[in-house]
Amino acid sequence: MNSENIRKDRRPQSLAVKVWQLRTVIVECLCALFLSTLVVTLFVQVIVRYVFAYPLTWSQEIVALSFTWLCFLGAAVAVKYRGHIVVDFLINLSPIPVQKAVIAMTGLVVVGFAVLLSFSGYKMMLISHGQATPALGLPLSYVYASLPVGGALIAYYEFRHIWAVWKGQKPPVAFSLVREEVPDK
Amino acid sequence: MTPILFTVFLVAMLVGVPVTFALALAAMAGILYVDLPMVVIAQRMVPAIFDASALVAIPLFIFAGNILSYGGMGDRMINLANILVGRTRGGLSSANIAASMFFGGISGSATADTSAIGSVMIPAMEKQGYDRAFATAVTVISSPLGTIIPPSIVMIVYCWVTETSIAKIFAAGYAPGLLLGMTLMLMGWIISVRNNYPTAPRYSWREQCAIFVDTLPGLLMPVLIIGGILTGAFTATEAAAVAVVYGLLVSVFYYKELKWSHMPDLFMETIKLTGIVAFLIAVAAVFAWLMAYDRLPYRVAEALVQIDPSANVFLMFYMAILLFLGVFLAPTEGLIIAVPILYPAAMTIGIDPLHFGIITVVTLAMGHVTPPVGLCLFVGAAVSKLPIGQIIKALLPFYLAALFALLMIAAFPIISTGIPKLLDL
Repeated sequence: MNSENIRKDRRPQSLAVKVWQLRTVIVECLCALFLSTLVVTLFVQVIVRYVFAYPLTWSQEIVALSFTWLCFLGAAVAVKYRGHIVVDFLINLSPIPVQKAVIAMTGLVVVGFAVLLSFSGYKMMLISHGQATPALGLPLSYVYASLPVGGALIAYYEFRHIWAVWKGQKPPVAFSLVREEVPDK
Repeated sequence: MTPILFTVFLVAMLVGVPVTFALALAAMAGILYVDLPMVVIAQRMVPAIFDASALVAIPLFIFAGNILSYGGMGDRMINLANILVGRTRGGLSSANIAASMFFGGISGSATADTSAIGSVMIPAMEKQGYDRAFATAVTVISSPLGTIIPPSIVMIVYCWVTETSIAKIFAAGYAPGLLLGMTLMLMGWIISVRNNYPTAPRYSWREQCAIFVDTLPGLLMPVLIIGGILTGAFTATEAAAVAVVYGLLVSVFYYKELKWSHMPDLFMETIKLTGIVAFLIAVAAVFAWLMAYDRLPYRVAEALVQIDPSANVFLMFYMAILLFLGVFLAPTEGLIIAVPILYPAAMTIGIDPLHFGIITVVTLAMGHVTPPVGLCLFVGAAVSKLPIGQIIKALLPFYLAALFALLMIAAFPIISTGIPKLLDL
């Protein structure tokens, strides 16, 4: 039984069902978590410095780690919701079949780069293994891990979009700020 | 390598590869050309984000702006602008511009600003008898104000590229923003007098006080942000976090308009925009490193020393290039391509880094509204459902006025550097 039917039944949803429904937006939830971490850590840092006159040394590293993950996961989320900016006036001038081909081609460029990003990041993860940040002793590979994960997600979302356009399930629109942003489901 | 970088970037961008990925593709081509290991991509990208503590302010300012716009701050800013400038002929057009300026003071991005103000203002102006194209033009032309008036995400990126102090450039942004806003209001007034547009309704003294008190907590936010940064009470990044917490408190407990049901959209918009901007910066770090590897900025600076142009001639060319870039690219994108190349040259010629930064930000923001292809025009066309030609016709006088303000800002460095000097930053 999928989540749609559960909603129609109007049965009270157990927590487990609700959590299970979140699976499609798990990356978004992670990003929200990192964003919240940024706000809370920095706010606590200010409060602690002024109220307890005690400068935190470790907070900067938490912030930097969260921001790095937010950056690369956020980039994937932006791909999922077609948020990245495109200069699309040339595409819009061409007929629909050409547009489809262009979407596939440009999409493969994105996928290709994302895959490369993943490998490059994975390699840096191995190289930096054993190094750690000064205050928290955080392994640098935790930081570099954001790149392979983010890159893989970008490749996945982009590929799903190309597939949907190719199958005719979605209109061949490129990324754009102006258009309605409908997520690929 | 430089020709390869730019050819690949331009071709990829024009066939419709997203700008960020076109930049990445160019970087990849450059890396292949000089036969560097691919691992330099990760080596440049991750530290660019991880080590740049100032950039953390970007998601936070985006977040703060979104919180206040969901919290009903847009309407309140418009009310306040109405009582301040609404009694002139064509009051709503001035109020539209003034509201954009207030809103620019709390949000970091132009798009949040335009949608928050425009969605309310265009229908309101039409109801009062304004031409729809005129209302759209005013909304579109005031969108650069959000980018120029601090806190500004583009300025933070400029500081990241050039290692300028964020406090200084924030202080420098107010006077140029005010000048541009005033020029636009003046132009709006002239057109309104000629078309006999109405003034905004008069508010009683009591109503005026009520509106002011209602807006006050929101207005305190820029004071808190900028005051905190300028006095050194907190860094720009901390100020942004404080702004988020303050904005949440005000929107949830004072205005009571921000609901739990808004949270998913609020977070999603912030995450998406952060993903776009921060990822672009990470990719640009690779691109900029390759340009530096090829010694491009130094070669440009050396060539310019040979030609020895006066500062004004150099700035004219610089602005022409930026306007052109700004037509196609978002301000952050244009900045990330142009500034690393031309900043060393500007410094050799002896241009003040703050002056240079303000010119960069204002020109790129203006590029966005440049007819006939500026990106904001299409946003305006989408919102108002008018053909682009009509909007351009109504926009033209405003655009010329803005161009005049830009030339003023470029010709008189004191407009940008005055306030930071006065505050002894």
